[in-house]
Amino acid sequence: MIQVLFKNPKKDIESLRSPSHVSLESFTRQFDIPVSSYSRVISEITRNCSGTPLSTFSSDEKSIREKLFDAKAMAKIKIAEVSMHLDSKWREKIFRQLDLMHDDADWENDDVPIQILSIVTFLRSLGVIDYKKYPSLGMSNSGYLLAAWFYNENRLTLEFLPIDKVRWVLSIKSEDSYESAAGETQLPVLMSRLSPYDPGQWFLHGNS
Amino acid sequence: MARYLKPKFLIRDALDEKIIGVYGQAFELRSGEEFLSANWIEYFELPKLDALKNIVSGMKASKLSVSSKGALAVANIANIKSIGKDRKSKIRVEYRPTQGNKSHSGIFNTLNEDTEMLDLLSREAFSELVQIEKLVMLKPVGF
Repeated sequence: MIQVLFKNPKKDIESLRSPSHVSLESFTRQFDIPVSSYSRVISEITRNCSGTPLSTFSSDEKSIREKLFDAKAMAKIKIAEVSMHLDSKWREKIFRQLDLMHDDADWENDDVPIQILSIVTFLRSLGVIDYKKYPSLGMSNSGYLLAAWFYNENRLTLEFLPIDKVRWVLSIKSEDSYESAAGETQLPVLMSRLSPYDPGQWFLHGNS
Repeated sequence: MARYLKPKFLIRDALDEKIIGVYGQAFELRSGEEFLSANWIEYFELPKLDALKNIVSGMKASKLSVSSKGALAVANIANIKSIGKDRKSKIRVEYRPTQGNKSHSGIFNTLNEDTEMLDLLSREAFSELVQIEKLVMLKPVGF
């Protein structure tokens, strides 16, 4: 496990107080310890919130453009509930990418827009992983949010499923070949599942 | 082979401008889908960029929507089959022309449940990406 230097150590996190170098545990947050603003995200967003999952567009009463607008609006409202805890650049990037992934130019009637329960799992992940690097966001056919991080040629992809479930896949370049691994797990244990692969390489390097 | 990818499947750089990769989920079959739709580049017997341009024209001719923010991902069939072999699935590619979309083909036997296979397809097979907005500057040839 490599040691990682935080650019801006947070004073109220016990594990960051003494050493200037921190280990994996320091950026893996616990659900039940309200130590930071990200932890408040967890408490404010329940994992099975009352938000109705958006389904495919079967009704023809609204145009595709109107329906996509509604879907994006619902997602942005959910994100706005915790926006005070998000860096403004990060929030703008999320909104911009939501717009990109709901492009009406090639939207088909059976395409599924972003699912609110997936957004909730993503927002709750902010309480588990202290992202220092904003990922690129995408969306699966099921309407689940995707996030990808690169570190050189090493890649990590997360798919945020409803009710705290996360599907992950990673590839790590080792000399001339790639090692890959994949799994599906619950959010609270995600970091421990990724720990053999040094997840700090993806999460702890700042945005360029 | 080339497969059209919607913007939601494209991984972008920090500024959301340059496309730097593709999500493995771009190769998931949708509900009721028998195979992954793709296009046979060599059908046109043209330089690659001209052929890709004709693929986009063919998709539009068959009433398929194409976004300028999307991309065509290009792969070698041998690489696709090799990934299938490594993942214990006999992937095959069939030429399946449709009205207007004469180079249309299908990729059979990909496995939705095999997340690593989908990731390999995105990283090692369909690794060459051509943005649609760059293709539109070219004039179709022989379409």
